[in-house]
Amino acid sequence: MFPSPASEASYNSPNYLNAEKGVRSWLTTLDHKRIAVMYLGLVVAAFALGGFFAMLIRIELLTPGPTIMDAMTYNRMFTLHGVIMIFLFMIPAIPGVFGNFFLPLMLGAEDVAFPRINLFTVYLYLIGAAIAVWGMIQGGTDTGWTFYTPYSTTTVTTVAPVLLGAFILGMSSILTGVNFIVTIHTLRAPGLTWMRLPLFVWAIYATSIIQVLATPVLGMTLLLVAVEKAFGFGIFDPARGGDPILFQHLFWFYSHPAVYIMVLPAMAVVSEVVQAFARKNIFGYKAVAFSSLGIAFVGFFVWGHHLFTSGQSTFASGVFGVLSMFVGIFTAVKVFNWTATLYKGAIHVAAPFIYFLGFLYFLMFGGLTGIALSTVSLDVHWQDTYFVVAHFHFIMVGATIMAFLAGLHYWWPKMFGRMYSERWALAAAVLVILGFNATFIPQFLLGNMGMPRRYYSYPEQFWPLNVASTAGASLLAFGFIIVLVYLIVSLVSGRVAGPNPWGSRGYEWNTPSPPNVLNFPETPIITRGAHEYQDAPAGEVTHAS
Amino acid sequence: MQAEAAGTPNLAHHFPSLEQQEHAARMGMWLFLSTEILLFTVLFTAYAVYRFLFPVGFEDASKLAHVAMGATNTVVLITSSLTVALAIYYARQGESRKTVALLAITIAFGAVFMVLKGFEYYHHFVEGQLPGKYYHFEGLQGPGVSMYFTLYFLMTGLHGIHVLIGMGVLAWVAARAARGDFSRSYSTPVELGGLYWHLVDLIWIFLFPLLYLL
Amino acid sequence: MAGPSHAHKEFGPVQYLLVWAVLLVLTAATVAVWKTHMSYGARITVALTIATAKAGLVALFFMHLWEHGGVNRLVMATSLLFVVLLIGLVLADNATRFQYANPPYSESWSEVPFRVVPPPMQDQSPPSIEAPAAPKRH
Repeated sequence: MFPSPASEASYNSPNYLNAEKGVRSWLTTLDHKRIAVMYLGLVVAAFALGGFFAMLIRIELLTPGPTIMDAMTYNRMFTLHGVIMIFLFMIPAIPGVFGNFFLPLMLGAEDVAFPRINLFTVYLYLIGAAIAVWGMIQGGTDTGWTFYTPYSTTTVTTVAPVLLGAFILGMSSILTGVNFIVTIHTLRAPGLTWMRLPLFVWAIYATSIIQVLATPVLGMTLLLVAVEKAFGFGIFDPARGGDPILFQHLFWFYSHPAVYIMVLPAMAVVSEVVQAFARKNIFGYKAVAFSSLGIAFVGFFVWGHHLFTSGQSTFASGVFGVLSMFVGIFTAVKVFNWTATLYKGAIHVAAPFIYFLGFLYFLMFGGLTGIALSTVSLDVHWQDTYFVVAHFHFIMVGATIMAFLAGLHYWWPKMFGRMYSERWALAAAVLVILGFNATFIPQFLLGNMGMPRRYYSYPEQFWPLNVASTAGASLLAFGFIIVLVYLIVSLVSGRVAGPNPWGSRGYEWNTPSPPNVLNFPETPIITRGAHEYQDAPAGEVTHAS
Repeated sequence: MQAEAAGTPNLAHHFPSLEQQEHAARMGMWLFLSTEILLFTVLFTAYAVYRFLFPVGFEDASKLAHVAMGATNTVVLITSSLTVALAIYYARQGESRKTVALLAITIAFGAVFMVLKGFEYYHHFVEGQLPGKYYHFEGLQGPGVSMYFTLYFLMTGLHGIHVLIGMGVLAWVAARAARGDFSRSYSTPVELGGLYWHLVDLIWIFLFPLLYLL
Repeated sequence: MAGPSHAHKEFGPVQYLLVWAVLLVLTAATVAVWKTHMSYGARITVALTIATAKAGLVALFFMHLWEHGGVNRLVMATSLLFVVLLIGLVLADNATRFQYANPPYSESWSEVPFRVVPPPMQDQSPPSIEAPAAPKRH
């Protein structure tokens, strides 16, 4: 089974944080745990940067007409916000941080399949991010993160560095996906059959499949935009026989599965958190596991719902609309099963659980508005309004970031060996959830009233709701800052956490906190599924401390 | 785990056996190949759409492509696939000299391909059969014609870049083989390099009829 | 040899040469078909079928999918599925669109009803108002 984690004496070497000292040892590390921690620093910095631009947007929208910037600058702001948040945070965050850290631990492996490629993805991320951000500050592309032709191929602003940066970031994403798929197939410990895999692993596996299949399409499409802008080859130019809507097809063929790259890892985290904090095995393991694959698969069939009002044929729109409703079924299965897991569970209300509750609520409302939007006749009115903006922020911030925070709080003691302040954590969680509601519910109303997105000014009737949204955004930002502060403080002065402060039966908790460099002193032999609480032998499960 | 590693210098510490490591490496390369396929699919999609929209323009324009050179290049690439497959076979047998020789022949075939391609490009350039707004061949004008050449240059250009990358990869593998890095129990890099080269051939197998013959 | 995992007899030079010969024959067939006067649809079908056959031979034998397939065959098949998906659905859109939502003078356009030529996007000249030149067709 698993070696006893409690005695560090059973290991012959220190934990992964202390094993080697110095910046050089970090920059050349092949240890997946150190790579995960580097990703954590990078994505948190990216989130702060993207959030900064979000605040600038909200401040501009405090009054109709120009408030602190002109229209062109506003266009650059939302482009910056979108590109940074999507490519530098949402896509890499959960796989890069928790996938990297916990996948080998959950598989009983020493590392991922290709550790050097793993390190390479960190550098690709850095280089891609640097080029993209530099490019946006330099010439300030104003196309929006969607780079629609013909504007992106004819605008005077510099788009090429951003396209190149996104291309390189895409390569980082692809290599991570390849690494995880191979790791899951080939490095499972003896006894770890597919049906005993933690649900986190299933969802990361599904995410990796999407990363591998969809991202190259984005890379090539962005390259075509750059080529057309630079050389005028006219592949999307009607005067040369080109079709601008072809760009949209190619772009969204990636970008819709991309939103599942963002949300599936969130669901991965949530499956772990809900089992640990209800101290109950998941209701319907197979349904949840296969629904991850279902989302990955069906998510590729629905991209046309972004093109309903672009000139796509009514036949294609009808097909995509119906298929978009199908993909909601898998999420519904998961929501039902997570909720059913809570029933008759021994619920421990702590910060990760509060974030889980927020996740569930936001996923439901975000998802339902998504189904509403997939109805073509309704989307005709909501397209390019704040209704769509609110919908995707509900999923991306409301669901995904709540899940990120849930995972961060759940796994913080494992990663760093320290507990954070539970009082501050609960307060921040409530503040974040309330602030989020205050920010984005007004946006649903604004969108329904007809306020278009990506406009720096608006008619007077939209003023009060915009002020409300900005006020909410300030609360939300404040909540995030509090989280950052107490987590950093915990690294210095937090209570030392034992190997299993939550009493979770996930495989990764059978290690000291922080884990040893080699993860396990010898390869564990798996004889049970993860999170089998009801048959825990006496004394094995340490209760939450 | 530790005992086997002591006797096999090529075995990474986190893999239980050399066989497992080879299996993982091969799977990783196949996954990477699928990303390359999806990369080219973008151009194939554009091709399909514009051929559908401009069937006459594409048919007329494709008559300006040099079928003889394209067919020769097809034979060149197929034969280079044979030589690289043989190189892998001999690497597995532990015969490094034959491996190096066959890899060198493969790279030479790649060079021949690029040279022939260069002739084609030069001819198109001289005639004014260039992509998009640079198209100025008076002998054939009409909707879709310049788009054909846009796609021709983009698809064969991207393919050519991959041929060059493949030649580089095979050269590196050949250098390692010449150094004696490979043996009967370890020749994975040769196989992976070969897989990449075969993909380059696969793409061309589709490019040739679509661009030259239809 | 490369270890006990290979249950099948591994292919040797003779088998590879055989596959190579078949590939050359198929290439010749593709070019021969091009010289005949089949209908447009038939030519596309035949050309793509032969290309698929050639690709299958390369994948199965040169790339060893026949010998040790398993998950790698699944990877290849899945990626091909998504190739078909992308090309198929995009074509379905272009094929069923309102005719003037397709690029100018494409196949779906019938008689052009208006007289303004859309300007090329890269330069700044205003649109001309002459009748558009009839496109050359055979």
